[in-house]
Amino acid sequence: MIIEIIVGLLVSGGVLYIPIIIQKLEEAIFGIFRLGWGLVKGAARKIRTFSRFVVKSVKDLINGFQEFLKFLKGGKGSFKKIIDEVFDNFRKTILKQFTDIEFINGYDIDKVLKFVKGHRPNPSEYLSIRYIKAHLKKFEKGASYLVPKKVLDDYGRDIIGRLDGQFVMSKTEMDDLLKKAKGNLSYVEDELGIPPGGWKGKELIRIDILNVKKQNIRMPTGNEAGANDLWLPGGKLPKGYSESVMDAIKKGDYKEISINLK
Amino acid sequence: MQILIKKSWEYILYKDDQKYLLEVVCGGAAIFELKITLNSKEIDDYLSHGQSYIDQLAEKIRNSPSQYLNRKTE
Repeated sequence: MIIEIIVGLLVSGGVLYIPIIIQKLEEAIFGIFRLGWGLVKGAARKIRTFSRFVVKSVKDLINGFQEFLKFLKGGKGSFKKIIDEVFDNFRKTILKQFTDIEFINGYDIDKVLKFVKGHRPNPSEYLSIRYIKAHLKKFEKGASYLVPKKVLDDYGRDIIGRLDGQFVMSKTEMDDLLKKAKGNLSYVEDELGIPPGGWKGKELIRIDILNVKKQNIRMPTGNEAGANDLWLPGGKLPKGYSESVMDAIKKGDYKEISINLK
Repeated sequence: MQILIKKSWEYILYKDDQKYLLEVVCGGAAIFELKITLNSKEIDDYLSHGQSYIDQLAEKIRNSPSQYLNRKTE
């Protein structure tokens, strides 16, 4: 509902895909409401600094929503211009973050995301071969993903992962992420787009797959069942981590490692 | 709690007394589960259309989990 309201009110003619907008709204706008409405009331210039504010979670976004509605009511004519500026900043931020993606045939992130899930083109139609090869090379040392132990218990361990393609990160990047996290669950949730508290109290398992070629590792199309509204073309997670897709993994072809995050 | 439907790596539909609970596997390289309690309309739709309705509902949740977070139940 929040997504629909915000986009409906603010993004007429907008050029960014809804999940990106929401993510960037989360990062760029709502933080200010945590600081209190009084801080920005009647101060349009200060509002233009929205993009410098960061909130850490969707929970913050929801908590700030009531203040946001008050702001909408009081914003009047200057509001649209301010929002346009903020969106321009979003766009610049997105493009800056993903400039390494080598699009071809006139595609860019926005153009790919205009295709709905199920109808998205094959990545080779919009990404250079060089980029795809370089991307998949990041997975040569292995791939990883995180899953609650309960999921493995529920669905079994003979073949794990989604049958139409399991999303994975590069093992190296997973190593780095967990090292940086230093056991902090919220950090990992935030980095990987898990709803705040989504893993709280859950026993987590890291799945490592070393022989990725055997698993038919490939660039995600965004049509996979696991692709949600945060999916981006080019094998990127919203925070910049690399992701690929592979076939579901048979027992013996993966390592199951318990990880301790609190 | 009775398991009514279980689709591998997709969802489990439970029945607990009069409640219907749908637990959907969401996410990509970071998997999480989102469990909701079906409302009366969803229960009616399930009883009318069967598993195909739950398949569609689970897909909606999987595609846009953020829209169902306010219905999350344990």
